[in-house]
Amino acid sequence: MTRAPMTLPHAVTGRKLLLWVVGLSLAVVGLGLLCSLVGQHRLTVGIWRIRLYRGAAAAVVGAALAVAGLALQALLRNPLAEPYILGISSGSGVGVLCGLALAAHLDLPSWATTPTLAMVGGLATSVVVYAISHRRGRMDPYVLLLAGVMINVFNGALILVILQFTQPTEMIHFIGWGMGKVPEWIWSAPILLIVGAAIVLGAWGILLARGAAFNALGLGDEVASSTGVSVHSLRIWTFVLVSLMTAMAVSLAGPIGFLGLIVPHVCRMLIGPDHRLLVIVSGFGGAVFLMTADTLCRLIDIWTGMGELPVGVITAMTGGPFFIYLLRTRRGGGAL
Amino acid sequence: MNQSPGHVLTASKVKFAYRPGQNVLDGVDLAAAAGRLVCVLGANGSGKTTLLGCLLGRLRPSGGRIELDGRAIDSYLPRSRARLMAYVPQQPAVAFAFTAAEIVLTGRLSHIGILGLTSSRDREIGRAAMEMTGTLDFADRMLDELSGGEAQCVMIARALAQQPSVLLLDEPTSHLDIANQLKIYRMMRRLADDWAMAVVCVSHDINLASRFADELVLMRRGRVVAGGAVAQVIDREILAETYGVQIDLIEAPGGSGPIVQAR
Amino acid sequence: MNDLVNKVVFLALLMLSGCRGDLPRSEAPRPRTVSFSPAITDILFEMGFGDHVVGVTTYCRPPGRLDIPVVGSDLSVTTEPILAVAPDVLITQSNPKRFESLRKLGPDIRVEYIRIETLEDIADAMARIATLLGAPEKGPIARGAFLSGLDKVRRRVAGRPRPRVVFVMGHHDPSTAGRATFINELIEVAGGVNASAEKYEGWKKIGIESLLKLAPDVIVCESETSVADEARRYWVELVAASPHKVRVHVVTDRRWTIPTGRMADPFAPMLAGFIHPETVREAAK
Repeated sequence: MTRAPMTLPHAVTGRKLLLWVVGLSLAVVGLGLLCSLVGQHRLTVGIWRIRLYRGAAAAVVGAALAVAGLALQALLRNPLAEPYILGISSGSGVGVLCGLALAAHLDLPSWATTPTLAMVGGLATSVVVYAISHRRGRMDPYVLLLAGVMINVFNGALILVILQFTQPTEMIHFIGWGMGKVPEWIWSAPILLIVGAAIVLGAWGILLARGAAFNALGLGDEVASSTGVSVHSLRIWTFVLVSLMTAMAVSLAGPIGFLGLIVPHVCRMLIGPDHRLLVIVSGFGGAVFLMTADTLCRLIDIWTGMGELPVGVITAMTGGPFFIYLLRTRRGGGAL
Repeated sequence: MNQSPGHVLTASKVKFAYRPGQNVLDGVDLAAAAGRLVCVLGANGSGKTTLLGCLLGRLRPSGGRIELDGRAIDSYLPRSRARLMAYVPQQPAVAFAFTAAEIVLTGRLSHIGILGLTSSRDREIGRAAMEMTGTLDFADRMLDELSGGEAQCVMIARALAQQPSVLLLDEPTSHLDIANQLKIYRMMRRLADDWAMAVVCVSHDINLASRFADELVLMRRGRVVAGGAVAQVIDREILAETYGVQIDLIEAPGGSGPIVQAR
Repeated sequence: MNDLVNKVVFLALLMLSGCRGDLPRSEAPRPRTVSFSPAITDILFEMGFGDHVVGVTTYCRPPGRLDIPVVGSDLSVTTEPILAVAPDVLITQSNPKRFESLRKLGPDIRVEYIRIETLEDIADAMARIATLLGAPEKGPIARGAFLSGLDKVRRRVAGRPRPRVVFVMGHHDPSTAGRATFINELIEVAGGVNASAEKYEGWKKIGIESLLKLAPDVIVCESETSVADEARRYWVELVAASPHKVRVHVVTDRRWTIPTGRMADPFAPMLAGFIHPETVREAAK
């Protein structure tokens, strides 16, 4: 089986990379403008501004989750890896729920709002997972996976405990948060968006520079190490960057599922497994995917009037079947 | 073994223990020089693979010293080390759907810039490596489509793309048929002779090793039983001590040296 | 062998510690009452029956009384804690069928269901609770005070044009009160028209654009105290995108969304003040 004809030859040059970046950036911006025309209300300057911010947030969150998912799949050499296996989404959930539960009893300061608590919860969990899986200067991928799974389970139990102390109204809020939603209120807190974009762009850039190392990592730790990859350092850096990006995404939009798993795979099927390009394309792919899904939520609301679905519903319901379709037509399962 | 300044990779009195008190390596010496093929042999569990790990800088010896190009092996960053020393694993395996050419080009990692972009020179070097190993014909095929021998040649080409001075191979022919085994050993010989490489090969086949290598290092239970020129080392008593069985040496037709056979 | 014996003894002691046996009962006048909803708890205390309360749910906030045991939550009915406080009557807003096991184990406990969904319901609830608590004479008084309080507000704003009002909870992910909520009625009483009722039934999540499309004149937002300022700033900035002037009010008392006697006083007059600020001076007279 040779690879599908759409793949690129192994000549990844600087000019090619630049073309991809510029082209995809324009595509994203164009898509953003297009999506900003969709909504319930008729278009005014104020409304347009709100929609543009929302689109930008979707792009930032989508890019973060897709790049994080790709990096984890490369790092763990596992096609099923996605950002939440490190326990970050459940950790964020614990943080958010604590805030909701405590807010009813205490007067929490205004910085202790949902995005901050989600970030803190997510990062705290990733620190715990890191501590468990980092021993004697090495980070074992298997232990990392298992630690993430266990922490997720533990956090789930913790959430059930905290729910006992939560008001029904707050519980509904938590459930709504848990489905994932692009923050339509982000226009009122542009600093959050700026920080988020900075985190994504920074992490994205660093991971881009690791693209060749990820390629080599696919040959096994020993071969990669002898080829010049600092495997331990790569593992730790990737872990930190993935945690940061995922925690940021979850703190802004809640745990939007599926995206971090599907988008890297779709990109891989379209352009091949070379991570030097994949890192870039996945990021843009994630942005496009989430912007489109978010706009679809608005469209469904306009057509049916039943209110906006949480975007996590759309990513799961469209992403899943589409992925299965791709699997069947390209026979591209199995190896990454 | 004599260790002179001409040796590019040296190990002296290397000790290694996974747990204190359990020495897997107990004072091993080895020296590899440009243009020479050294084969490391021994019974299973003699510490051959562990020695390789130490030579690669992957395992940290608890005693002794390993030097690459005159400097201690742990003073190298992986990137600079990769420019001097390359490794071929026992079993070729890749987790991503790379073509043979892409796999070979990953060997250029230590030479390329921060964005990981390959230049035409890199591709030229990869091409030369693939030509040397006879793998140019399946440059666009996936690794799992290739036979064992072809895949192993791709991995060797990948190592060559690093432009190393030292090439380390871990039992490269253990799962290959006799034709492919011969091919690999001939290739190693050519690399030593024509490419002036220092080749160290952990081997499981005493006959092929003795036929093609310049020097042999025989190990048993973490120690070197004997090390030196092939003619000195191929000796019934030494071999019997190494493998723990009685050995017959049979003269082969063509005068290429005795064939070793366990009784 | 000794080690094993130690372990067994330790485990036995651990298990026995879970047996509470007969605790001394708190001194409360009969009928000893368990309240199974925050609204009912608040009404009981407002009407002066606080002493009778021997058990509340996790969400109840009995004023000044942290000692009242929590015997369950709206989500789960656990029989043992209820039995442990030995109530005579249990008052709930939810389906009495959920208390089947309680009835079996404690047949002497009366489980009383009271519906509190409309303002009228609140008035009826007060009367019913007074009867249940053995002071039926208090019923009509409380009921009357409640209904006349509402009437007073109605008169205050009578004849005036009704501005469009939207009541929301929270600001980042707001829910609004549509039809069939007591907030809906409260807005009517206070001289407004509930714009959300045109599109929504019950409490529903509402997006920014949908809210602006409702073209409200007044937005009332219930918010946590800690983020009240942020909420205010948010709504004020948002309505700047609206063509006409919108007044924003942020309230932090969680009891705005709990149906009790406070609806008539102070919430109805406050709401009237938000909707018809021109009547505030008159009302103060």
